[in-house]
Amino acid sequence: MKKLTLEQKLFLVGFRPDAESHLRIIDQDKCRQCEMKPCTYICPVNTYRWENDQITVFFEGCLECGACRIACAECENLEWSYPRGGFGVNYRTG
Amino acid sequence: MDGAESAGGGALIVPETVVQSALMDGERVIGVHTGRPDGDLYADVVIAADGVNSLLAQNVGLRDEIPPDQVAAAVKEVITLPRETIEDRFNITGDQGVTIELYADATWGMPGTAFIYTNRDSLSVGCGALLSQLMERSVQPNDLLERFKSHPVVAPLLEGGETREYLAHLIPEGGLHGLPKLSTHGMLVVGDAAMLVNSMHREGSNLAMTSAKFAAEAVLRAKERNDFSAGSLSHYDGLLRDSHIYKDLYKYRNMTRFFETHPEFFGLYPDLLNEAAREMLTVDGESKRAKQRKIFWDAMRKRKPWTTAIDFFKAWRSIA
Repeated sequence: MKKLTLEQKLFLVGFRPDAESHLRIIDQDKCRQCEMKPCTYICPVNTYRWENDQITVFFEGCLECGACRIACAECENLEWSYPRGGFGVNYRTG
Repeated sequence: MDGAESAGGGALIVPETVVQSALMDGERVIGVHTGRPDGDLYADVVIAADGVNSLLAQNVGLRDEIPPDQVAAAVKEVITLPRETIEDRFNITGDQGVTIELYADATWGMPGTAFIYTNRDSLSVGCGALLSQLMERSVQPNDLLERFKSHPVVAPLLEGGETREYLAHLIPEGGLHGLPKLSTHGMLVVGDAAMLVNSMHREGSNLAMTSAKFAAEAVLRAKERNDFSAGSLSHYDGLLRDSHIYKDLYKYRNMTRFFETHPEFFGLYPDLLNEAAREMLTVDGESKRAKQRKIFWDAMRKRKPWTTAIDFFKAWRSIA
């Protein structure tokens, strides 16, 4: 079976991205001090990336699972909510 | 919807609307605040069925944030395959289907499950593990899934298939100890929002439906009495407690904690079993008795038999 990259898998999922992110890092300084940065690997779609000395949030492909919110719960540095009504992920197969 | 209308009741589904918080009057929940303009909805009872992340239950103070060792992160692919291929490969006909569940190496030694479910013309292939373990071992869930899919026992089952969708979900794993407060003045919590999952049996959908039925019964009863207080609505808690739901969760209440603290069951013990089977069933000139001895001493070196016996006894206790 052909192996797909994560980006290719995301192309298969229906999204209606909002203009603004529904995920927000509160204080990037806390991220700089965070050793493990679990958000950068725990997210099933690599929403959070460490680049240019900060976390960038690629919210458009978010599957709204909530893993990041729990991973960052210790620092309480992630404002997590569902996207606005009508926006976000739209699964076809369930 | 049709059912509700024909029963003389009414149900209004309001799509594309996010519930942002509960409306409170003191300690009483009196409705919800949504993201729509003028979007406040008032109700005698709010039933929180907003899934494992239930921000609503948290908002009202019925539960705290989920600890990472009480939830599993799982990812899944839906892979299309022709129906005839599925029937051939999985040995089914007509309306039959198959569920295959895998442990141990399938989830890289972490407490969790990998699964393959047959659908009509597709397979649901997924992998999930306890979030605290994924965090500790720095594992990306998609990598876990790809590793599983590429295993020589799994790959042939998926051959020729095409991925149609990729999904992710958190699954409650806290069992009985992880349950939030289930009722309060003007509110009930059902399904994943109430962390009602029997992870030993992978039962979540049915517990959700049954708990929703109980919630409805509790609300109808409250309506008759015009009493939506916590006391009245706690009839819901009683219905859950008297049902198989509570009994099942009670039975397995120690399971998650046990397997989290005994990784041998996902690593060493399956490995020993595999090695023993391979040694015993390989014909290489050595006598079976000699092989038996070899297996025994190999196991002894890796784990004292007394420790093994205690481990299995405790495991039995945690699920019986």
